[in-house]
Amino acid sequence: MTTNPLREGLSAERVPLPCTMVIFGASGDLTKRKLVPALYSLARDRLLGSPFNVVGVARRPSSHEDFRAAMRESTNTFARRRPVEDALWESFSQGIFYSQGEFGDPDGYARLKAFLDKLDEERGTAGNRIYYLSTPPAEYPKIVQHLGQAGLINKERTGPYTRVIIEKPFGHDLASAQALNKDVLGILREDQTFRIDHYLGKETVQNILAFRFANALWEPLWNGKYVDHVQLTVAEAIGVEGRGGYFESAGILRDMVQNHMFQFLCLTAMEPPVAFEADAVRDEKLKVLRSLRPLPSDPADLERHVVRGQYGPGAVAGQARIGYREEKGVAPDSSVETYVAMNFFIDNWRWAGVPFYLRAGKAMPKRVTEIAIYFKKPPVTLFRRSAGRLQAEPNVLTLRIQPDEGISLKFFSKVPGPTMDVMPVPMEFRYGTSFGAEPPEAYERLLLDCMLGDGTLFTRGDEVEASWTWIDRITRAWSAGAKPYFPNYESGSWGPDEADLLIARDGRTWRRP
Amino acid sequence: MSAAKEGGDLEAFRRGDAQPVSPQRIESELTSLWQKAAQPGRPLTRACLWNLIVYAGMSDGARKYIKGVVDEISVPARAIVVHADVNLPETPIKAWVEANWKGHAGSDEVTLEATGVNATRVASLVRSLLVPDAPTALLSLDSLPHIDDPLLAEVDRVIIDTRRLSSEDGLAELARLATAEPALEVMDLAWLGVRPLREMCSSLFDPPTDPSVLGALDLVEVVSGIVGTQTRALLMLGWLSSRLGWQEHRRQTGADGRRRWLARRPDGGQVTIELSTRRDGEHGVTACILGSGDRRWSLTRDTVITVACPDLPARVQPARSHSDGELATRALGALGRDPVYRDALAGAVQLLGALT
Repeated sequence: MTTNPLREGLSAERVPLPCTMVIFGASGDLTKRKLVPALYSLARDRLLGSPFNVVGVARRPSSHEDFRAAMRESTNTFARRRPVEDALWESFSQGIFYSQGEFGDPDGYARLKAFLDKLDEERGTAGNRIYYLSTPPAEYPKIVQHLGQAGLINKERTGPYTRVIIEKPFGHDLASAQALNKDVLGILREDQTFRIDHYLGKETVQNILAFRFANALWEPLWNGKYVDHVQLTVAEAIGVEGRGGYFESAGILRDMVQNHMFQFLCLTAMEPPVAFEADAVRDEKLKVLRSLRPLPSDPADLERHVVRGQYGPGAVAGQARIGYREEKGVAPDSSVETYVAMNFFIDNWRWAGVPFYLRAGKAMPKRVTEIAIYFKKPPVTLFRRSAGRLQAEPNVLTLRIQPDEGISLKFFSKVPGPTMDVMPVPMEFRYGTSFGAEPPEAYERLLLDCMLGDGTLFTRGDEVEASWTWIDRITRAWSAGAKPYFPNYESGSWGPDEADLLIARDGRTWRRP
Repeated sequence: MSAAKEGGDLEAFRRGDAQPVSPQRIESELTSLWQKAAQPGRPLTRACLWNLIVYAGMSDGARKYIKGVVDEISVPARAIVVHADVNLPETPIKAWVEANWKGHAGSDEVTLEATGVNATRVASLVRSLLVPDAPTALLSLDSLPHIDDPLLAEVDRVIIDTRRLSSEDGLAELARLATAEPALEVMDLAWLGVRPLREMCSSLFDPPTDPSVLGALDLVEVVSGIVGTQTRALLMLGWLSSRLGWQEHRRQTGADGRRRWLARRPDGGQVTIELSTRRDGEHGVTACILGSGDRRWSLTRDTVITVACPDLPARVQPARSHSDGELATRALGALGRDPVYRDALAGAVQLLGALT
């Protein structure tokens, strides 16, 4: 008997092996707000392997007890199901430990190794390790190098497993992404490397795949013959919220488009994979990225395809908001973009001739992430009384990622009455109400997948490099061109006027989500 | 059910109160009430993901119980509640309609009452009320549907509760029904209730424990917190027995009040199966102990469930109980399907039918 026959028919037919998750940067917000609450929720749902340990590593001194107490408090605040249950926490927290260490100190890694070996022996975690790098990106190569040197990584396919989770950003441009991949893949195999983009852990993002490939209805329509254009929107009502220093070195193109938005784009535009398996899915995503038509490198030509903006003072949802240049850590003459809109094409058979419009912005009127598929209009207008409306408003399929997750299809219906008037009506599916079940947090799904060794919802190194290759052309052209005239949109608006012109030139308009 | 005047009292409908209607006018009356309830500028959502035929007794207690369960089901469904008794004096079929509101969305509920010969005619009325293209479930919690029930042909899923059977023999009757209707999905609230325990029991043999130890178990003991009909405990034992391939069950006579069987493992070894009771207030399965030689794996339910296995730290899981309405909701979900149930049921029936 090599597998557990009692598992058959249960919701978790695969369960993770016992393991220890070591979190570097354990004193940071991510550990408190997301990681430990997600692990607690997994324990509550009986999805963790047993035994399971969490070891927090950070520079500041602390004890196991203090770390447990801090984690309990934050779990009580941020876990999906609150408050924490005493008995469950008591049991779960027996596997929580703290280890103080500098990320560049070899002795610290030797101490960590001795401690992890002791835990394996005492708690039966069998040497399986996940290292979660929740540190500034500059620390990633150093930590991975030290882990390797200290004998904390097993690169072999036999014996206990080692996996490393890396938080975005994966590089700052193509060269730095390649350097990071080289450093990491010198120590680890690609399938041990889990580049995490938490958007991919959202149920609604995964539902793009289910919607497309579990319904035969859509696939025949999902191409340039029936689709007029596609709009992808990620709008945030907040500004940089204290992350001005980081944002100054990133901008929204790097912070949002290169990772999250390209992942949506790939899931929306990819071909059906041969299997729902990590490399099969990621191969298809990579093909999309490689099919993106390069944008012009000349700054003036680029402006017809990419508009950038920066928010000035204004008001969002009735609250006054300062401009980006007034934010803490931001240069008073900053040229960093907080908004970007672009149009581009995917040069493959499916999408030939279909424009994709993408926009991402901060200090927008509201928080919304969505993908809208605009279908072509009827070739002949039979209903003359409504001809204008039929020509102006096509059928639109909207995949709402957040908030109010769901899917909406706008189609035309006859208005009750003696005349043949038609008007658009929405057909709505809402995630929050249709299943009567609470979806797991993105990190719960992704951490569980990593424990199971399933990289489908993680980004592969070649995907990262392909996306940077395309993005780099934009940033290079921006660097070569004139300094932008910023700020150019008011907080609480939908972005600069140039963005409206960008889509209006094609005879279209942005959605008002 | 608070009756209002026949013909449709709109306010009562908006409140979710039952309205008497002519059985021949149920569909048109519902349509009319919904249209009137949706005022200009205030559209409503009339939702239906399932047809839910509900069999319920005629007594006040049975009516109250089933009303509570149906009201608690959170999946939008057209519920058709049938109170029928062929043994009572014949009266005309009576019908009521109402809306089950969940926020701004509501679902239809139709109640039918029929006695005497009309009780045999009510199936034709139910058939006419089924919403096309929605799957159909039959909820029959107080008794098992008869194998010749004319509505079974319309049904995709039967939801029963073997905890409410008056005798454990009902498990054999259910197994016969399941065999006669192989395509029918059978959901048992008793089985859904022990699912967390099954998950925890399975977790005892996940890595690092070598699952091959399951092939060498020589003892399994399930402790039930109730006396009388112990279907949950029997299903748990039937599940273990079927998953682990135990055969040739023989009943043992014990003087200690325990029910005991011997069975043969696939490797030819012998396993002792015990079912005992603990009457201290906890209901359902309160413990499950599995042994091989002197090694023991156990689940013990108290205010929490303690999961213990050799050589590893014990852990604790919350012990939760679910209302029948919650379990019925789960039985209507995708997770409600469980291919292992029929095997567990057959295993339980095997235990009950074992000779000494």
